[in-house]
Amino acid sequence: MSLEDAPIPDLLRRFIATPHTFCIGVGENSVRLETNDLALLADFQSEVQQLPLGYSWKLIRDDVTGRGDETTVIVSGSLIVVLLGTVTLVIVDRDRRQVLGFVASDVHAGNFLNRLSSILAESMSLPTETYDRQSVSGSSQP
Amino acid sequence: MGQIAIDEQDLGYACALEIAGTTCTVRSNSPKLASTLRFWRGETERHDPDGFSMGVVVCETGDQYPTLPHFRGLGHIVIATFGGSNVFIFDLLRREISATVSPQLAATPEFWNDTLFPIAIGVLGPAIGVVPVHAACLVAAGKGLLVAGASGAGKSTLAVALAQAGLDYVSDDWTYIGHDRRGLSAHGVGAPAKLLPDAIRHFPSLARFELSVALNGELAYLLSASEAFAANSALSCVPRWFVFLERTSRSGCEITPIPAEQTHRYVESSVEPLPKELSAAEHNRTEIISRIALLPSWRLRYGGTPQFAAQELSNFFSSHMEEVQS
Repeated sequence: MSLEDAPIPDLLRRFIATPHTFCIGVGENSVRLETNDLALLADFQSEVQQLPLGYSWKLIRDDVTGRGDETTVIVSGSLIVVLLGTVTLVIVDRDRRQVLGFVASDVHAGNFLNRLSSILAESMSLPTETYDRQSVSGSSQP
Repeated sequence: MGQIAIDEQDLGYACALEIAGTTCTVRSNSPKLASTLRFWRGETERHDPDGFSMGVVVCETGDQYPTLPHFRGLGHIVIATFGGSNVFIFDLLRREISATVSPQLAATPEFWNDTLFPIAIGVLGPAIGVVPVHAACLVAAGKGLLVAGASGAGKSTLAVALAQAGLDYVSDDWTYIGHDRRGLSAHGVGAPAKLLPDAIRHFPSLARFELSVALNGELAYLLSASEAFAANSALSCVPRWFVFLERTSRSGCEITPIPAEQTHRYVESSVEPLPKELSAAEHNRTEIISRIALLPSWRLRYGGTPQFAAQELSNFFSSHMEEVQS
């Protein structure tokens, strides 16, 4: 290859086009979704009453199938990360009022959103510092 | 459902590491990780307000060794998973990494040294003023030489041959370039040199080593240049030269100057585009790339062994020392 430009691969899938949008409500109570998947859009509209208000969502239908079905929720500062297996993942940035996520290609949109809404309802109502520390072991001695 | 809180109050074990000219403050709930990170070569007392921090919870219930990574990014967040028990969340706006890892991973220095820290600098680079450049880096008479080229062009074999010819070895594939009031600085992260199996033709001593699977799944020799080739290693230098490497089937060596625009285009083409949330970081990165492009730049076209090219390049630079600002 010479010095001529080569296309840069989008390894992180950051720039996948999200032409399908949905918006409901106004101002602080609005919910907005951008996605590349019509099934996610349709099921999001059905589930929107169960989702937190005032957030801007971007959900990407991934081209990779899901691996594993274990659910892990990680809370760090204003971030909540929900992993369903290792491919479907959702990041909630509470300070920035954003929800960003990838959904494995073989995960049903409705089931995913239903499961996610109940996880978020539980995790977003708890302040970070009291969020289930029991699963974290190890001492905190300096 | 596993629930994990990464809460600063629980992360009582701390250390500060110097990585690619910046400081990473690591906090963990486990002495195991702090002990593992002692093997990192750049522990520091320095506090760098422009550095980044990493909060790591070691979960005793996690039982997995790392698998091949899965990366995804949206907006200011990048996530890397190495199996379900090992999750790294990179926040480019806050310059923070939050992670949960298994005890096995916490106790594996090779993972942190050879995989995680290079990834961290690659991902957070734009946010902390460091540009990852797809180039090997060596030092001749105190002057840094960047050897760029497409994957497969032979950067690693030439880097090893140059190190055997007496240059100090910084990196063979990715070099991390920052800028401060003293000018540009180029850094390696001590990642192993990666030589493809056919490199054994040029370096028969590779027969002593085993092939490994690299991060991208390729089979390769992953070796410390100083241990495998008795090379002198350096962690950083001031870059003074930029060489773009091209291989030809015709024997011989040709070194010709290239204009700054071409160097600029190459470096720009080796960095990932950034989302709009990171426009300030993109501005800083553009500034650094412009300065890299001002380095005296040449195209090295050669056919033959890497040892031959290393000799030609060494001779060329010996006779052009005076052209490079000190």
